[in-house]
Order: sequence, then structure tokens, then C-alpha cells
Amino acid sequence: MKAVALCAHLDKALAFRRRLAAVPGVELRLLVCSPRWPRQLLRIGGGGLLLSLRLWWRGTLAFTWRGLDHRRTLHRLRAFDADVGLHATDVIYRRDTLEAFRLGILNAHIGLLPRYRGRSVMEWSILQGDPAGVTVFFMDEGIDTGPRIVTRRAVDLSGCRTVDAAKGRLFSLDVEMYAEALARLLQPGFSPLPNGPGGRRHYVMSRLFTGIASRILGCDAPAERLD
Amino acid sequence: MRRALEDRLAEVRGRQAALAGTPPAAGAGRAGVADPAGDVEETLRSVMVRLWPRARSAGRPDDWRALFDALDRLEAAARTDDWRFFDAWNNAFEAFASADCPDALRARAAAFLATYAALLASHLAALAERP
Repeated sequence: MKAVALCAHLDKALAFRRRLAAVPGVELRLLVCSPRWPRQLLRIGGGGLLLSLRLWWRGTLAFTWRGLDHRRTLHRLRAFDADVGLHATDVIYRRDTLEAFRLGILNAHIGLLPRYRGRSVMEWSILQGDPAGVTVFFMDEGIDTGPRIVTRRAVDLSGCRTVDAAKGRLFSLDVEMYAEALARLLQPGFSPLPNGPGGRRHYVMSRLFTGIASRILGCDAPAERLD
Repeated sequence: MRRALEDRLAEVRGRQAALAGTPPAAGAGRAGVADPAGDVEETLRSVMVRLWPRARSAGRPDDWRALFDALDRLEAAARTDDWRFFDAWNNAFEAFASADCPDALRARAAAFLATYAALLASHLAALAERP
């Protein structure tokens, strides 16, 4: 399976490389999409710089300062002939970008779909006494409405004392969750879970409710595995 | 939760006191008409994606009035246990309280604060009824 990690930062691209190079059956390419990529390359220094140059020389790592929906970027994405894109940028994808991949682009969303769509979903889960977690699903043009969930996992946040720490924990799982998702996609007969219509779109949480979620987090956090 | 809502209610009442004596102005009243059930989601989306960010960043009286009017259409939903609607009011208050209230907005803001205080009281009453 050919996968392309679409990254806003070079260090994230290298994290993908470290983890996903070990997944059997996955041929990984890395595309760093940022107008600041030269600065990122210079800042990474030492072994990271050497590794980046080696990957670039082999054609595994590429850079662009253009948007993902720019025609030249799209041309490059199509030339990759990839099955799956892995989202690690901060942009919203247009249809042309989504369709540049045979299966689509995966998103590691820090909420448990289908219930928790949108923003501040970890905080909303905590406030409502539900498990928090990560869902990997194929994106569409809507807000977390892509109909195919590849994997999801509730995450124990009991060691996290603040909302920021808890969010950091969930975000840190993205590469691991993508690895799990790719392994599932490679399983014969795999069929995705439906991202059903029962979910609600959530929005940026107020300071009032975020403070309450933070206090709840300081006391306890529900966790269970969903599959 | 209860203590946080009580603290917020006290803060709102402080703001109301600061605006006390503002006479009701023509057209300053609440829009007050609830959206049909199917439209509250769209109104919430409009508030959180468009109206609240605009009022918060630009801060023009007309932007605030548009936000307050849309919130009024969410009042009934904000009394339910779907806290997303109530939280739109929380967000609006937090943005409103972070800046000085323009004179042109005082009467409309007083109506907004009165409704928000009633919502807080309603949720506190519901919490008090829980075992």
C-alpha cells in the first residue's frame, strides 16, 4: 500500500518515517507542505538534516511551499499514485486533493466519532462524562463527516492534570493511530465502521466549560476500549 | 459545575449593575423568536463560525447586535441539557466582558445580560434538582 504523509512540519514527517517504515506492506512517502520548509530543514540540524537529505535524494521526502490544492501540488500528488494520504497539516482539503488518493485521506481526530465531531471535542467528552480518544477516518469535505472509520481508540487521560496535557497526549498518538489504521486497511476483508448520523458538531468551548472540564480531568477521566 | 455557574452568575450580575440605569432603547429588545427545531443547528453554526468570531475581533455594535439576535433565537435550546447551545452564550459573554461596552450597545447588552443571567439561573436550578 502506498501512503503519503502530508505534513506541515518536517519533524512530524520524520516521526512518520520512524514509525511507519516498520509497518509491513506500506510504502511511505513524505510531503512537507509549508512555505517555511527551508527554515525547518536548517533548524532540524544534525542527524535529522542528514536523514532528510538522504530521504530527499531517494525521492521519499519532498517539499512544497505551495498549497495542497495548487495545481502543481495536485499534479505531484497524483504522480505519487498513492492509495492513502495521512493528514498532518493545518488545512482543509478540497475535493481535488481528497481525490488524488485512491482510497482517500485519513485524519486522526482527537474525539470518538461519530458522536464527537468538530472542535474542542476532547473537552466536550470530559464534560459529558464520556470516554475521550482518537478516531482515524477517511475525510470528506464536511467537518468530521467522512463516512468510513478505520479505527478508533478510547484513551486513558487519568495521568493528565490539565486540558493542554490531555490534548497533547491525544495528539501525540496520531502517528501510532495511523500505523494501526494502515495495518487494518491491509487486512484481507477489512471493512470500515460507519461514521453514523448520530453525531453532533461541537464548537470551541468557552473558558467557563473548559475550566470545568479541567477540574473534572484533575479528578478522574473515563476510559474504555472501543472496537 | 454548580460553583462555576454561581461564580459566572455573580459576574454577570456585576456587569448588569454596571449597566444599570441604561434606558431601554427602541429596537434594543430581544429578537426572542425561537428557531424552528430543525434550524437551531444552523443558527448555532452561524453563531460559532461567523457571528461570534466577527463580534469578538471587530467589536462593532452592529456585529454584537447580530450576535445577540442570533443567540436569542437559541434561548430555548440553551435551556436544554444539550450544553452546546448554552455554551454559545458563555462564549459570547466572555468576549463581551473582555472589552468595554460601547454606549450605542448598552441597552441591547443589558437585554443580553438579563437573558444570560436567566439561563444561568435555570441551569443552576436544574443542577439543584439532581440527586
